[in-house]
Amino acid sequence: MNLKNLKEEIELCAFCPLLCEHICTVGTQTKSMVDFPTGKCIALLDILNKERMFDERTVEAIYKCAGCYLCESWCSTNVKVSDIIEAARAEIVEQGKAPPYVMELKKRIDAWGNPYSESLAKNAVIYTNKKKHADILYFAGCAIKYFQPEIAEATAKLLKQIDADFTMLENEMCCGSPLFRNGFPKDGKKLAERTARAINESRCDTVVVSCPGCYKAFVEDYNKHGVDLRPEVIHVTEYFTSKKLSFSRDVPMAVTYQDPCALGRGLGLYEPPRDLLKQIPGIKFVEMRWTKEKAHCCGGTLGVFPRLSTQIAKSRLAEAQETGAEALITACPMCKRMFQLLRGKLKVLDILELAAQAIK
Amino acid sequence: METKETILKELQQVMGPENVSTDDTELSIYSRTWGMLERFRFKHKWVSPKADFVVYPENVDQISQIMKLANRYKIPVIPYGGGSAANFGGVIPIYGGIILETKRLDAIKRIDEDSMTVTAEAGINLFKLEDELNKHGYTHNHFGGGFYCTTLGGGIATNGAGRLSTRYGKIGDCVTGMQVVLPNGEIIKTIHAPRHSTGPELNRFFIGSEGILGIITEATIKIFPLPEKRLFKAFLFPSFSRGFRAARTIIKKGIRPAVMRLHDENAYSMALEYRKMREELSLPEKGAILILMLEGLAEVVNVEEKIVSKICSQEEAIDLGEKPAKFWWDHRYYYFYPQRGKRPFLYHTFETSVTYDKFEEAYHAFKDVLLKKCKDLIIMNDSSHWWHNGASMYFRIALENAPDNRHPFEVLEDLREAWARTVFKFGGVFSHHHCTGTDGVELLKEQYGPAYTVLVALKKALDPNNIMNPGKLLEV
Repeated sequence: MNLKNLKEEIELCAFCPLLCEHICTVGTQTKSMVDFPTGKCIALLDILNKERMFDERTVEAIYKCAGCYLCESWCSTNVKVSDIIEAARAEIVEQGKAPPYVMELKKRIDAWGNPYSESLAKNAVIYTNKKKHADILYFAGCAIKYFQPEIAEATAKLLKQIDADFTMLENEMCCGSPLFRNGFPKDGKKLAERTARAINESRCDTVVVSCPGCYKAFVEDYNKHGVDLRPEVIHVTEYFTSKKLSFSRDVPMAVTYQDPCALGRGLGLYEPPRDLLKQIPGIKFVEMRWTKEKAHCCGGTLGVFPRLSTQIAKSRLAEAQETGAEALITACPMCKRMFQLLRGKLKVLDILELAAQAIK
Repeated sequence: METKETILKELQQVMGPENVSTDDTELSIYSRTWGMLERFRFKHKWVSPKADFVVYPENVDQISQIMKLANRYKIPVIPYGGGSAANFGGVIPIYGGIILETKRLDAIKRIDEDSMTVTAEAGINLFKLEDELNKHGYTHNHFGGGFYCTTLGGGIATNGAGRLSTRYGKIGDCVTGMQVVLPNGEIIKTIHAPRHSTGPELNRFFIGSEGILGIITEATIKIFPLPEKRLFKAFLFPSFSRGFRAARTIIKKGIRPAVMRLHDENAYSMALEYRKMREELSLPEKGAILILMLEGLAEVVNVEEKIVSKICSQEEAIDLGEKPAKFWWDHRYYYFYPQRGKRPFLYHTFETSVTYDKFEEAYHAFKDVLLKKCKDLIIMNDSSHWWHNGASMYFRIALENAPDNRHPFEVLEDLREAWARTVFKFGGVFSHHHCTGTDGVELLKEQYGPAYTVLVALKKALDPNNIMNPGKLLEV
């Protein structure tokens, strides 16, 4: 959506007297009015009214948004702040004012087909029987493929346990999400079309996805941009709760669960991960104080602001520790990475790693 | 220009360069407030004056040094808490200067469960503070309209009133001690004792002072155990007058409901939240509604319910049960969020408090005077804060179309002037809980009468260079 077309939405947020000062993932850390959604919207209104241009501070504020949808979950007016931010980012890119770290991300994806400048072949088929076609296509996502292959290994173990006919793409590429999110919708669409083509060619019935960011891209962005993705797409937690996993070992552990923003608020998937956790023998599940629609973000999308993202993760980790759990479970590689980096007392695991522990 | 650069360098020395901003976007955003009036200002191209600096102190010593520096250069300092617009321009830098953002001072120093107090730095968000207290089984009980954005210091400096004021008081009533940085940079602490007879209560100098006498940097306030029981009740009265009499009787009997809100016939029939409530709960269309929430020990609450019900039935009220009151509670912040669709030409609020002896007469007089000025005005009142000797009135006013192509500010100015004069006639106040900000400076002299000199003398004694939030509350 074009920024100009969102003027009414921007105005609603800009003049809201409640300001999201109690919850904005970024503003509650930086304590600057510029970083709260309302501050950003005031700046955008000025820009739309040609009273100012995108300057360095405004651009920084627009990119200093976690994209966590937490403000939206509190907003009675139902303003889609995430749409405003994405439209503003597209406008910034259009005007050639994107910050260097954003352009670097784009350059890497253009050159390598993923945001991490890694070879597409790396880690791609090691978990599979190298089948070209199968009923199930497991799509790990770049963050898992390159940095957390243990999540893919656990997924493969579980898939094998239920005798699923599955495979992975030999050269799994980026789904396009980082481009959609950072102001490159047209480039995102091009990449999405390539990835969709590869998935369609696998002739699978179902794509089972680990990464919430990829999942959101497949079910929302692809649809929005008219990208032809034929198989049904579901999240790993939805898939495994619908199957009869035969757990053979107790995992005696008190655990709490971090709702990934894209999976929870983004797509409304709160129960499948919880259902799966509750199926694992020996697990004692305890909720954090703020969960589901109101769960606090881990700051993982703000990696280019390391101090800020660490502060955000620390704050959430403290909430997890308050529950008395021994492990913090999540279903997102970004959340896992953020919490692991803090080296806290809690074990940090992906939900499928935990499930795999209960299987011989 | 040279001075500005010199001040910048000195501020950077005190704060570290990363905590001082002269960025145009930052200055512009910090030179506004938010909310209804601001939207009108924006629409009608009202340009706010701009601050010269925004500073982000992290401790009280930095604030002290900023004040010393500001005094040396005689540059205004505007303390900034949540920045909401309830006090109509309270944080707008009328004469430029330094916006002092207080939100980074947000530590909770001590939760004293024995003495039932919490001590926290002034920049803490009231929602965050409540969340922490709830973990310990306590509450601060200050749920104003701006609960999500109010800071502790901002709430005290504006003496805000929350939804539970009738039982627990305004936030100012709950302050037991404070740390304040005076305009000369001196850091003081008020006496923190369960009442004293050793001179005037210094806390009261700063409660509601709107940042003109110093910067509140820390406060100790009362906390309360979370209630064992909450009981919701709603009654529909044939008229606002009958409802008023019932509410006053409840107070006279010594019952202090946590929530007691009497909405007049217009509010019940036209206000957004009541239209929604009537529709969803299929309630009668006409009347004045009393929303009640009784809380505390279950045994006590149950007795109070019986007494309250009897009082209301004596005024011929229909017992609507608990649903409407529960609905109101669940939507208590609903109408603060901006609404979609066509907006009226003018929307504003006037609020006051009047003693019980003049209450009914004043209520009608306020409405009459506003309608006389503007016959098409929609006026809705709720009286939501009930004290020992009187109660508040909160008039929401709306005008769908421009009368004779007049500018909304011109219409508003006219209404406000007429309303304030009538308020003074009945011994009411210019503001019960929104504060004065830039809005009533010239009217305050009239409000205070000869006592105004005391306020001015206090201001001059503490802030001889008039650097603290100038242009608000007082003319010096």
